[in-house]
Amino acid sequence: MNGITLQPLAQERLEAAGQWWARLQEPDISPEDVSEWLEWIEAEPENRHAYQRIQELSQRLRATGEQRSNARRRGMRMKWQAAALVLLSVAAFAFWRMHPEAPAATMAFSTPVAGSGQAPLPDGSKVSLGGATSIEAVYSDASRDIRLKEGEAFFEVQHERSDRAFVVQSGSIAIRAVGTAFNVRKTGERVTVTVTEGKVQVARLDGSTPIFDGVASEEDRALIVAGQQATYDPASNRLSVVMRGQDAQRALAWREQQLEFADDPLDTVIANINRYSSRHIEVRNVDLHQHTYTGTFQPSRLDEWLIAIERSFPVEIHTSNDAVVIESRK
Amino acid sequence: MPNSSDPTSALQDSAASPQAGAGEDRARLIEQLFRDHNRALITFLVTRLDSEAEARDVAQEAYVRLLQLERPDAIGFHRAYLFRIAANLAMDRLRHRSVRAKAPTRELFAEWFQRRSPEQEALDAAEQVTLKHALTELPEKMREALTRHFLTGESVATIAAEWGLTDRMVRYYLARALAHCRARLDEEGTSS
Repeated sequence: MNGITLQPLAQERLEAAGQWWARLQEPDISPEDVSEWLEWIEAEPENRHAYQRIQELSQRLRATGEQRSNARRRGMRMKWQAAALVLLSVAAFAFWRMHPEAPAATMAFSTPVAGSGQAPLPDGSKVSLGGATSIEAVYSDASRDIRLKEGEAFFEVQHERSDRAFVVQSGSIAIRAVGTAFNVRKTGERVTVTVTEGKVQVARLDGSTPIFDGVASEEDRALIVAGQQATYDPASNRLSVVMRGQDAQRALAWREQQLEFADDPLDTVIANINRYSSRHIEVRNVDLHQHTYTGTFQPSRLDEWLIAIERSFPVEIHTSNDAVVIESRK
Repeated sequence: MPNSSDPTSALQDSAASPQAGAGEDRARLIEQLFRDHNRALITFLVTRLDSEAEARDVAQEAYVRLLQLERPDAIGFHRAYLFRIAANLAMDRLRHRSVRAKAPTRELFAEWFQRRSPEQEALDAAEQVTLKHALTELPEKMREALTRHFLTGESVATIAAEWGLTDRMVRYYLARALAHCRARLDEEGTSS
């Protein structure tokens, strides 16, 4: 705006509105002050407008501050997490828009134990995060790279005409998708990929490069389709694929506040539950990896679940208000 | 009255009661007050409560109190009196709120989400960039007051005590900073 005469006038009016805004907040504002303000705000529509613009800005600044502090806060409940996630993506966009020439936009999202939330990605893809989950997204002209550092996330990938690859890296494997939906769960170095829609390619990493192309064995690379599940087992350093059919949807049960396990090692099961349970489960002097568990877990029914575990496996379980210890049965 | 719920409906109910003459006059006077000043009253309450929904609640309650007032003299229907009642009700709410804020519950969060109206949305990324720049143009105290009060959530009293200033002075800084940032955001055209 150059040389428009209304501008300084608007500025003055805003200044006046600001001063009124300050006076109106005096706890012991006098009736005379209120009357004076009424005369002012009702005198001209521009006064009212200026006042409302100031007030609106004060509210939006507060909302901005609240979002920022929520993003930093930990241990809060679901809805807060959603807000925090939105904010984190907003912060990432700021970077992106400020530097349009920059080669890539980086976004980071995370949730605390027992939290969850959704994060929109710039291409319209959506990612839902489970408890204690942390991901990073790097978008460039050539690719959409996601890194699932820990936890569990469900990706709904937006297909793009340019066929810009959507690649999720997690532990020792990478998953490449085009217009599809899939869940990735990382527990320690064990990674499980479940496809609910379309298909994805899963490949082990050779150093930091996924073996998507070229010659590779079935244990290094697999094409999995809706209903299938691929698991990377760090002990054997290989991928195995199983057909889950309709059961594939159960991998998404965490989004409905429950966890589903199918032939998972019990230590993996406990590690996953710890991402959703308010009470941390500690495993002492017992190797749970040799036992497998199939079934459902609901965070609100931890105690019942523990009783069932104690009955089914050679373990003793001690519980207190804020902790659970699993030990070898003596 | 595009900016308000309609408390006159409640007023008409009362006016329709068999209380006759004086009651009807009173209802008419209050209706007049509502027509002339309701927008300003809501604005006034939003400034004090920082919540659109609560402002409307309080405004409605203020009209009802006015209607139930024992003294039938005209002074009761002066707009200053309406604003006084509303300010007192708002103050009660603020006290009540600070007690609740010390014991956060999920219900409180839920309420927080419901309370969110479009004008309370956080600044978008482009606006935040403009804001950041606008802040650099301000004297240090004003910049700091705005950041600490709105973004960090520190109370005016806290900031004033630390700086050895009156609350009023801190509010003055905030007002100046707001006016400046508002002007800059408008110039950029990044804010609708």
